[in-house]
Formats: sequence, structure tokens, C-alpha cells
Amino acid sequence: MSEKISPFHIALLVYMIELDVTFFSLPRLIAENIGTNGWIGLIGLSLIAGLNIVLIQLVYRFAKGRTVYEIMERAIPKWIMYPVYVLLAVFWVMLGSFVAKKFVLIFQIISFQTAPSMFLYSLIAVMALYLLTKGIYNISKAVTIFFFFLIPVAFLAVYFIPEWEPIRFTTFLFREAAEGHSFRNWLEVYTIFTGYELVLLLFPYADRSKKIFKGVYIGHFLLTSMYLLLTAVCFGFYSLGQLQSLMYPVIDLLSYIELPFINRIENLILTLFLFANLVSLTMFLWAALTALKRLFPKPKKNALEIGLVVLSALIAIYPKITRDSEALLRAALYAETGLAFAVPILLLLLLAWQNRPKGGRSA
Amino acid sequence: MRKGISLLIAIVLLTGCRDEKVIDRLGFISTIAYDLAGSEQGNNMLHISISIPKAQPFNERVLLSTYAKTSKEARFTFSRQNNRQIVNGQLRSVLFGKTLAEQGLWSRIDTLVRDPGIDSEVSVVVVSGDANALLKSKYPQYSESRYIDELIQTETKSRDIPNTNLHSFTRDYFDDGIDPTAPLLKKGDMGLEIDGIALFHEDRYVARIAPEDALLFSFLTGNFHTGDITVSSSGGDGIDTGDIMMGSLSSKRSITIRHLDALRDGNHLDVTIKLKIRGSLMEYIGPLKLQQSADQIKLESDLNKYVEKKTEAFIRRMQAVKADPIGIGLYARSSMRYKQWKAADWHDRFPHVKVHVKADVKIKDIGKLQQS
Repeated sequence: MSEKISPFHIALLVYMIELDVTFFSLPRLIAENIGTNGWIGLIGLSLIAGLNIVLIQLVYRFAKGRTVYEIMERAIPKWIMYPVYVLLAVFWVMLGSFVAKKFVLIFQIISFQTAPSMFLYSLIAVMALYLLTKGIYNISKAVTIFFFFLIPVAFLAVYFIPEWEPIRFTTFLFREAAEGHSFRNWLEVYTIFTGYELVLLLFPYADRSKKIFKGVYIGHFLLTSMYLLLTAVCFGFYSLGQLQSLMYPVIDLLSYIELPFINRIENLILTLFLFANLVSLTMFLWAALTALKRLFPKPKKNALEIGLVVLSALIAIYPKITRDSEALLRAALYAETGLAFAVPILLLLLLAWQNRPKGGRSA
Repeated sequence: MRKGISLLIAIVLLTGCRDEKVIDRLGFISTIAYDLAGSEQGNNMLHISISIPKAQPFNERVLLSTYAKTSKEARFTFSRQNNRQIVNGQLRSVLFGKTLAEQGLWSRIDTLVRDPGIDSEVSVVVVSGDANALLKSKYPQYSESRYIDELIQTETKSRDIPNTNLHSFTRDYFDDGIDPTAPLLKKGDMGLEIDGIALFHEDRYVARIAPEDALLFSFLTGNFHTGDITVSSSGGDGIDTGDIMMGSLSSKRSITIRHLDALRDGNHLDVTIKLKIRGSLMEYIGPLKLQQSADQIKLESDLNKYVEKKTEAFIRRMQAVKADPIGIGLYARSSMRYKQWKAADWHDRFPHVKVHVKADVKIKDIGKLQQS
């Protein structure tokens, strides 16, 4: 644990954890749940995620170097915490597995249609295992490379300029949402941001001498800009009804690109997004690993890592068709969003109590 | 460690052996034609043909034809007949017969958009007559396998006909302020011919713009930068332009919406379409002396009248069939409040809208010749 993660790597890490398979349906999610000019809603939701990060930052400031687990164990007896850790670990493995499995199922719409999906999944799982055994510092370095694989995809937006008409945005605000507006519908869009909360677990690995939260904000800002770019391209390129009718507008968008020397480039680019999903899977497995390490402080070499990857593969067998996988992933993302808000608030309460002035009167 | 790495490389590379597609064993469909089958085949049957180009001998193709209820059902029949696995990945154009188009195309296009193998840039074409017959005919002067596709591509580039593909058709079909258009194709004496532009009401073909008017029509649908126009009008309606051919045309369109009532409820709309057209004069046979600026201005004003008269006539025809390919509805929508827009279907409002065209034609130059 000699090397620490710099704010730069944290920024890319946050970007890549947040970017996952939900990206493919993002424009439809916005068109369906927010409606016309949904990009404004997206900015609002991103700000809410920003507030969530502020909460996490407060935890970091008051924790004064302690890890999240240490804070909790000081206040809550270990026999309560241990089952919670197991639950958390299983939950994170599930979340990671659902993300990766959904990616495999979407990938199979385009290529390897008849290959067993678990075979493709195990390939991703093996890669995740390799990353996992190398530790978080090396994961963050690998993520940097993956990030630079993916970022050029943004420049493809230029291709759509001739077909892009601002008049299709309409002058209506948040109209035509498929089911009207509800907390649940907006929450569904909000889940595209999940992932930043893993920063809570990064405290002990971050370089304390630097402003790591600058990195978190930059990563989140970068991702929001990327999502905004995508949404803006889609809302000017598709009509709203069309956007609501398309399952994965991003794949359609990519299939529209025809370069003089190559067409159907969605086949190539979809493969690049493997890395974004690999990072999400790896990081959720890593989160589970940190929880399990509280129970088994001195595990056999790689035993926990292998166990987690095997568990993830077992869980991934369950969603076999996209409809199930979609529903499971959505449920898991809702729960994760809940955790993202609840845990920092709980921690702040604990910290306020633990850091209360000594000798002060308790209420 | 080394073992681990070689294992990883092996698994990753060997994955490629699954779902292999050997190019020599595939039949790439390049064109599909759909028609309504005649009454002897049953009312809801389609007549479907596909064309698969062959690599050897060059320019040859395989043509398969069947009757089926859906296009996927037809594909099963084709697969049984063909010695190769039939795939959609290189589909370039779909042709719909006129009678089928009049009944509505969405249910046919739906399956094409749904198929992940099919690119959204596949051209959508309506055939004046029988699409299957057009696909089956031989055109000895042209490379058979790619003729239709190449013709559509060239014509779209010169901006005579709209560039309609699966994406743009779906987009305009789903938008409540605009209707799709598609190129019309017919069999001519020497080969295929563009037969104008098909106008749709939602997904139903309702009217045709003649090929000689296609360019004037495309002034209305958007901006463009290339194109030629010939105008020939002598004396009728007080417009005497003589015979003119203008080249290197560029045109800019702008649409302004005015509400004639204070309620702005969208029932009293006044629409002005401004067309800014610039071009070089390539040919002129007529009474004016074009070296004189005054005569050029006179000619420009005659051209303005000509463009305005023609395009306004198109718009009246569109209003009569409740088809809005220009997208006036998009602009009307932007000028209204949501509730007012939703109060009535645009197709019912559109016929009552007052539309004026204001053309601004300028002759950029008259070429190399001074005196005529």
C-alpha cells in the first residue's frame, strides 16, 4: 500500500465506474421518463449526484484518515456489522454481475448471437479477476488506459452535424414523458450516475496530501458533459417519438455512421465499451472485496478474489434474457442509489457523535 | 503468470471460432422489393423479391421471389432455396410498390428497423407500379447488382430527390409536426428513372411531386448547396422568364410563423417561407439583354414570381392531402404552448394554415459571355 492514487486517476476512475451499460439506453431513458428537452433534467440530476458527492466529501473531511469500516465498527458492535458486510459484498457482486451480463446480452444482439452468453461472460470475469488480484492502484492505472480507448468515440458526434436540427428539441419543457412524471421515473434516469459512491471506499488509498475530491468532481463533470453531448446529439438527430421507440439509441446512432473505408462500425465500438463495463464489474467486485477483508483480514493469496469472481459468474447465470436482466439491473441500481445517499448520512451522524467535544454534556 | 497470460490469449482468440461467418458462404441481400400480392394469393399476402449480387461472374445476381405474410417468413423460404446463408448486413435499398405504400408502410418498416443486422441508412424507395417487376427487369447497360442503389445515391447527391432512409422515415413518421417523403422510381425505356417524390400522410403514400418539379420542392424542404434548374415560362400569368438554365444553385430556407389571433391557439396561423436562392446563369433564350443590370433585375423578379407561384401550388396540394413534408408543423409547434399544440392534430390544422412563399433569387453571374 505504498503507492497512492492521485486525483487525476480518481477522476478517470469515477468517470469509468459511472459509465456502464446504461449508456446505450440513456437517450431513451431520458426521452421516456423526462420527455422533451430532457437534457435540462439531466443537468439537474447530475447536480443532485454532485450534492451526494459533497456528502461523501464531508465524510472524508471528518473521518480524518479513518476508513468507512473503522468509523462504523467504532459505533456498532462487530457481530452486527459482519452480516452487514456479507450482505453488502453479495449485493455489490450482484450489481457488478448484472451490469456485465446486460452488456453481454446487448453485445449479442450485434455479434456472437448464438454463443452461450455465459461463455462470453466468463471472458469478462477472467479479465476482472486479473485486474482484481493486482490491487486498486494497478486497477486505476489500467482504467486510465481504458479511458483513452473510449474517449475518441466522443468525436464521432461531428458526423451527425449535417442531420442535426435544433427544431426537433421543441420549445416544451419535460412534456411527452411516456408515463408522466414520478419520483420513480426520474430515479430511473438518475441511476445512470451510480458508481461515484465507491469513492467512500477509496479513502485509505488516496493521496491525502492532494485534493482528491477535485478529482471526483472532475470525473463526474466529465461524465455529465459526455452524457449531455450524447443527449444533445440524439435529441437533434431523432424525433422524440422515435427516440422513445428505440431500445438502444446509441447502437442505432453508431450504425448510422458510414465512413468511406468502413461501415457498420457499431461492431467495433461496442467492443470498446466492454472496457467501461469491465471497470464497473471490477470496481464493484473490489468494493465487495474490501467488505469481506474486514471478516477475513488475512486471507490466502487470491482466495477471496477467486471466490468473488466465481460468485459473480454464478449470479450472472440467472438473468438469461434481456428483459429479466434489465429488471434485475434496475432494481439493483435503485438499491445502490439508496445506499449512495444513506451511507454518507449515516456516517456523518456517527462522525458527529464520535467527534463530539470531549467532556461536553450529552443530550 | 506466463501460463495465465497464454490461457487468457487463447480464450480470447478462440472465441472467434464461435458464430463464424465465412464470407464465401453468405448471400448478402442488396435489395428487397415488397408488393401487395394479387387477390388470388389472399388479401394480406405480400409479394417479396430479393436480389443478391454475385462476385463471380461479375455483375450477375441471384433473384429470389416468393409470396409470404411477413418479410421474415419470406426469408425462411429464400434460405431454403439458396445455397448460401442469407444475411441482411449489406442491404442497401428497400423498394415498396405503390399500392402497398398507399396502405401504409410502417408495419413493413418496423421489422427492418428492429433487425439489428440492418443499417439505418438503407434507402427507402417507392416504385410507381410494381416493385417486384422493377427489381426483376434487366438493365443491360448498367451494372445490374448495384444499379438501383447507385442511381439513388447520385440523385440524392444532386439534391433532386430526398435522401430517405430507414432512419429519416422513422424519424418523420414518429414526429407529430412533419411527414415522411421518399423518392419514386419507375421503369423507363432505357433503364430506371426517378419518377418524382412520394409524399406521405403519416405512413401512407398520398401524393406525388413530378420529377421536373423535384428541385423546386426541395427548395421548400431545406438548405442545399448544389443543383441545377431549368425554368421555362413565357407569358402565362404575366411571368415571362424565357428559357433559363441556372447552375450551381444554393438555397437557404427560413420559416416564420405568425399567429393572427391574440389567443395563439394555432387555428389562425400565417406562415411565411423565405427562400434565398443563388445561382449562376448557364443558358438564356429570351427577350432580355442580360449584360444590362436592369434586365438582370427584371429577370430575377420574374424568377421570384415563378418560384413563388410554383411552390405555393405545391403547398396547396400538400394541404389538400394533409401531408406536411416540409415540417411547417415543427415550426408551428415551437411557436405554441404545449396545451394548444396538443389540442388538435396537426394534420387537421395544416389545411387551414395560410402559407406564403417569398423567393429571393439572385443571379450570381451570367457566365463568360457578355453579349447575346
